[in-house]
Amino acid sequence: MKSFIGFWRSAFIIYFLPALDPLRVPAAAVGPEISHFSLGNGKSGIRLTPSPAVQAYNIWSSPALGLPFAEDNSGVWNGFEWSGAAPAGSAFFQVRAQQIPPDALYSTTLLNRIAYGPTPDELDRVSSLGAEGYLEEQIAPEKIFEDLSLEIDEPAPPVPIREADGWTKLVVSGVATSANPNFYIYLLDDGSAYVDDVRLVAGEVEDLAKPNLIRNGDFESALAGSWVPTENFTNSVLSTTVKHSGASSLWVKASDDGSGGGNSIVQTTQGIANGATYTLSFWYRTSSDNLVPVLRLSGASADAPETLTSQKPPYKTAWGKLSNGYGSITDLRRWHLLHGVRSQRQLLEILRQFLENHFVTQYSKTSDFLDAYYDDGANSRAAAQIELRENLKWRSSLLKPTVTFHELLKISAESPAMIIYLDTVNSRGNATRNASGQVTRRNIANENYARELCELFCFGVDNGYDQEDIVEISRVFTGWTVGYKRRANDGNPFAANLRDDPIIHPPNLGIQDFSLYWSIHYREGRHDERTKYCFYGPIQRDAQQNVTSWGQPKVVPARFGAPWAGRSYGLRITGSATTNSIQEGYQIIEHMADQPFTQEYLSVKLCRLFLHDGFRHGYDFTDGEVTPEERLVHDCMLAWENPPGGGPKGQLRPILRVILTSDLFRHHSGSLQKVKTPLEFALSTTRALRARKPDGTFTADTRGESDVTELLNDAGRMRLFDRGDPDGYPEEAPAWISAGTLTERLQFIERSLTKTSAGTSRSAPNLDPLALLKLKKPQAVRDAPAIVDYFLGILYPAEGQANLQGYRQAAIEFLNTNASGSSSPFDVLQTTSTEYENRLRAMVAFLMTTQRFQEQ
Amino acid sequence: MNSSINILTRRDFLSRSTRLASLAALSSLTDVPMVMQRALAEGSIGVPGPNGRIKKVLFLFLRGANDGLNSVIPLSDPAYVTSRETIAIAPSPDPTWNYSSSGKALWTPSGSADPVYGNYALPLGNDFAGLHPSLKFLVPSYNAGQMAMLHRVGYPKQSRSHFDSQVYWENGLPSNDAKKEGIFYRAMVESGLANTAPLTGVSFQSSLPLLLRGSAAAMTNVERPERFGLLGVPASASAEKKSKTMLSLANSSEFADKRSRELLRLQYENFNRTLGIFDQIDFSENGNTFRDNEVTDGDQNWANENAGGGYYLFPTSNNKNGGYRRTAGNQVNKYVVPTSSYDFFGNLKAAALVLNKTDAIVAGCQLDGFDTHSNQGGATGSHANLLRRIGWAIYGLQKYFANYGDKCKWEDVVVVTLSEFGRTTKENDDNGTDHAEASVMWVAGGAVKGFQPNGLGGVTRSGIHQCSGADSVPWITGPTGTMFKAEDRYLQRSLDYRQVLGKIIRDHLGATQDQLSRIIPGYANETAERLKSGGTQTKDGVKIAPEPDIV
Repeated sequence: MKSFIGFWRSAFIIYFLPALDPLRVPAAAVGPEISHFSLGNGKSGIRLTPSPAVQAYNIWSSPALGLPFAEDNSGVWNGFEWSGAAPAGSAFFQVRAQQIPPDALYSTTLLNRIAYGPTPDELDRVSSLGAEGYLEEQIAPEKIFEDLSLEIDEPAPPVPIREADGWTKLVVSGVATSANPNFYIYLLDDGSAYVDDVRLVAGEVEDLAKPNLIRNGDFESALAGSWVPTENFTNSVLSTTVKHSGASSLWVKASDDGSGGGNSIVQTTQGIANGATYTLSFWYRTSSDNLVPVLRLSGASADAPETLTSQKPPYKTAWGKLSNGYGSITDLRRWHLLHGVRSQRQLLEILRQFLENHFVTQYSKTSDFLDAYYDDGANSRAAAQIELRENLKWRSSLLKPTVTFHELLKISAESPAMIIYLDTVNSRGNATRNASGQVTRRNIANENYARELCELFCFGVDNGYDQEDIVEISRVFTGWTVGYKRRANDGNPFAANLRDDPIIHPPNLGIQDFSLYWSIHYREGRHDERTKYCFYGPIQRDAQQNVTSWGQPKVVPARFGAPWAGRSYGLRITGSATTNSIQEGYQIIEHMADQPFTQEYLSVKLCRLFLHDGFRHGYDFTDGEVTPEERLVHDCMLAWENPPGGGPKGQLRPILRVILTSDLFRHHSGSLQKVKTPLEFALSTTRALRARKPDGTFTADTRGESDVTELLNDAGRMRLFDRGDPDGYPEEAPAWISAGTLTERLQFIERSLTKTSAGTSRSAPNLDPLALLKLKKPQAVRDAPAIVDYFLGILYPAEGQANLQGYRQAAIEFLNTNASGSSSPFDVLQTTSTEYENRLRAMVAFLMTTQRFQEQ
Repeated sequence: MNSSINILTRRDFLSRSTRLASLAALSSLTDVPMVMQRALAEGSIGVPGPNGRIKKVLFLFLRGANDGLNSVIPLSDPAYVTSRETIAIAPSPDPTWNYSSSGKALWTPSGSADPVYGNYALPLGNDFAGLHPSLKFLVPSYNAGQMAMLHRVGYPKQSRSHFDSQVYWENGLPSNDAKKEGIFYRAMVESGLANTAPLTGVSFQSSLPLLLRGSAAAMTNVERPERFGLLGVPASASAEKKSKTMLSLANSSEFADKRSRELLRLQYENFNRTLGIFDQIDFSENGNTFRDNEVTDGDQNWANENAGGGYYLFPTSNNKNGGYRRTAGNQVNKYVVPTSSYDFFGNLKAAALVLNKTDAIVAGCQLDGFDTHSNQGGATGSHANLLRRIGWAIYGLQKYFANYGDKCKWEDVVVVTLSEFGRTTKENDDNGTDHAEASVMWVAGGAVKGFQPNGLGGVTRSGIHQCSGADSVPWITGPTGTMFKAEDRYLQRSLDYRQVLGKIIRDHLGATQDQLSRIIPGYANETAERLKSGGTQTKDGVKIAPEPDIV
């Protein structure tokens, strides 16, 4: 036996990065290592432990340590095992790894974290823009031009004019499409309604001086001779008990829905010119949103908004519905998800979702709360609108270069969704007094919002507050409720609350004017007028919960170090029972927004969002043991405290810059360290194969909500805008990944890549890898290895080719295998054949159902 | 001749040694590498016993707050009848009707309005308590000494909000609605299997309940178990096989170490194994062939093959619902459960199948609709219909695990019901009951210590806990008695739900006392909580009985 000693040395990395800051060597810049060495049968075998982002591994050897190494080309690779010629004597081996250029790695991490995943187009664009260029672009979204055609304003329906007795007036203008057309009155459901004082005049305004072109429009004479009830309306009569003016009105009685000609109450008009504009006005009274009568000229329809009809046109877009108060939660989710896929302002989208989830509210709780004020489920639309406006306010704040956390927190605090969600809406702290002014009973404030303000929105659990602070803060927010207000008064806590206005909200009838907003409304009569000792301790209270002693203001603990440690942060708020007492809430929000606890907790949450799960609050910043994670949190806090560009504390952009330009983020320690949430998984799936075709359409697209609801529900119940628990959806991977949720994720991929015949619907996006291939690699459509390399490159750009050999071989074999599992060459298939497309789609589905596609 | 050197790489070594070094300072397994969690776990949760089988739990959450006083009825408390004008259940007119003596298991008293269920409360043999007639199918497990009925169960400072109280029941932390981690989740994490076994805790309902939720491991909720048939691109059996082959090939690919890769590798492995396991289980309606082997409600045709044999244990359709099919004219009054309960029994069946065919430790589902504010009904009506589901569910489970037990026999499983609180002692003006305090839990299983009349081994037990004047915290009768002790309106607790679940988790599933103190933190503070020894709970000064001897 030949004597042999396994001389080996561990890795050697070829870096393209010239020099690293020696103080900040990235923690995970680990090279490949030789994990196993064997010798026998004239062969030497080396097995590697793969290292991140490697394009190629090479074996180098040297006969003795003093001598130079030369590349050993004698071997072949099988996976991570190399088998080469045995050395003549003793030998030293080295593995050298050629890594992905640092900028490419950085770019990919950015596309995975500040965007909902890379798209083929974005990979190309960012590659020429450079990682830092892309980051600078995304961090200032107001400079990014965006036309998604997702926010086209559509005309609002005419605003009804209401009277307290239940009568409502509508005025609409429109064009006649024929001379002397028929005029119809009908309902869209079975039931009844009253109509009175119908006027049709020439011109674009309701001009009382002009002659009424409708005969017997005031229904003071018998119907015969002017109006003809037909089909489902033959029971319609005059009513003398219910009328808007005069002695009678038209009582429209429908045995079933009407449609116009032949199925309505008809009058043939006189003196109407084709193409001229007329204005219709009438009064109606009904019991339900579904039974608002339709009045129109023959030939007019809601689909043609220029024609003369009282029926509101259907909205073309989710935004049209949402912006006019008619959007549902489905429309809101659709709008949100389509932005996630399509928007160029990807970081803005990520941050909007982060804020939505951090300042969590629950759509269904809002909807339940509003149920008392609406008929026909319109409360759910009002709840969706509240969620939308909260989100739009965050968006417009995020578009400001100096946006601060305080500003974002304030939007959340004032949002009706939050006031309802954490029960502030019913919280009272006022006292009942007897004739001599003594308190006989004291309401106790609800603690929910105060607790979550400390624990989840600002400080983090057990971080700088205790139960006494929760009690004190809960008293601050008593009186914060919601009211129904004119749009101009949105956000004005003292503007009239029209919820109890008998015209807006008539007795026994739900709100039907959707042009108003639910907004914060302050009721000082509910406010706890006593002094509050926030962040003081210890606190003593008497039997009536009056604070009798309050100790000293709390002090920032030593672990924070300079400049925070030792600062006193007690806040004594002198209460009052006047309208001014609303300021107490704003005072505490402003006070808490920039405390070191908030700085720490929010920095940790942002680091978890952008980097990985291994951040927590509670570091001792003074103990000399500094992990890179702790250092990054500290750097964020410094940027929070003293923004490099000056200006107020808590500016978001400097903090984002600290995280996104950190060494932790730029190198392997940042790359692929996170698992996608169901939302990120859904959106990144479409984006992964989405490229713009010359005709303006895309190789992958989604309808939004309907495509992903099944996934979001079944892969962990991630219902957007409707989280039940106040902690928001988790970022941590173990919360989302199990055998059951993986089943749903994989099935989603399968659905998305299965070709469906036209017209069939399925709850998945429509991904077309063939179109993508023809667009990007037209010369390689039958070359199996080239196809696989292309898709590996766009799906796993940060993994490194050398590390993807296993997937590559499996995918090539997949293409060269028929459905029965027998070998069948791919390159002879016609690209127009079903077999070709099925194999291509299934191969891409296979690549996207792997473990690596769960990562970002 | 080959020589080879296995090398523990520096990185392996570093990561292992730092993790182990930090282990001493950590109290939770979640900080340990997943593959090592099992080896480092204490206790024997999920460890097969000498018979090769694992101890298991099947939970049923009765959401909406079950009316305990009309379930296990304090017949001997005169204030019961006077408090409940329209909904009280009358005691049986014949004192010899005693369900606690064997032999009268499932007969229906003559003159009953319903051919399956009777009108009268069934005396339970402790001369105090009676059972709602719609629960008569609890009697076989009760008579076999395999059922404990626990009355007056609650917790300190009872919340009367469904939302909050369900959170407390599920996270095991009364008054703490911030901790989003369930009792059974923590038990599964303590087993060390949560991230390495394909199935540990499984629910079958619309979403994963808090009981099984937490951030260090994802338990599985299955809404539609048949969806585990997978990978149909393009849709054909052979193509699916091809896809699965490729996927397992891809899963064997090695990659550089990243933060989530161990989790993903393990869960993909779990997923592959679950696919394989679920392939072997027929979750379909056709596969629901499980039947009873005895006379269930006096119908003598049970053994007649032509008539379909015994009753189906999991009624998931009219044809599988009691004596419906074999009765002339398909009489609906031969149903054992209401027709609206088929989805629930489908979920229950799936939970039973998973416990019986896999190594899952905890499985369960929920039953909604217990918030009976109005027209609750008495011996019949909406509450009675809910109780019929409970009675038949436990009966069906008993028979299923006894007759079809494979990886889980009846003695291996404990079935336990949970419900967030009880309902007002006094009926309201709408002939219903409102949110209140203590209520009832049922615990059943072959290993449960239930009714034992003859002093076997020196022990005589009624199987009824805290529903008699002879209890360690006696039931005081009358209009100022136990039923009105809490805030002068509500039934006061004398057991804490954490004692019942704690007892099961420690003495049935196999947690150590230390583990239990982490799973149910109240156990770590015996002076205040008194969960083990009983006594006055300091939070609100209410006295509770010692941990009940149920398993």
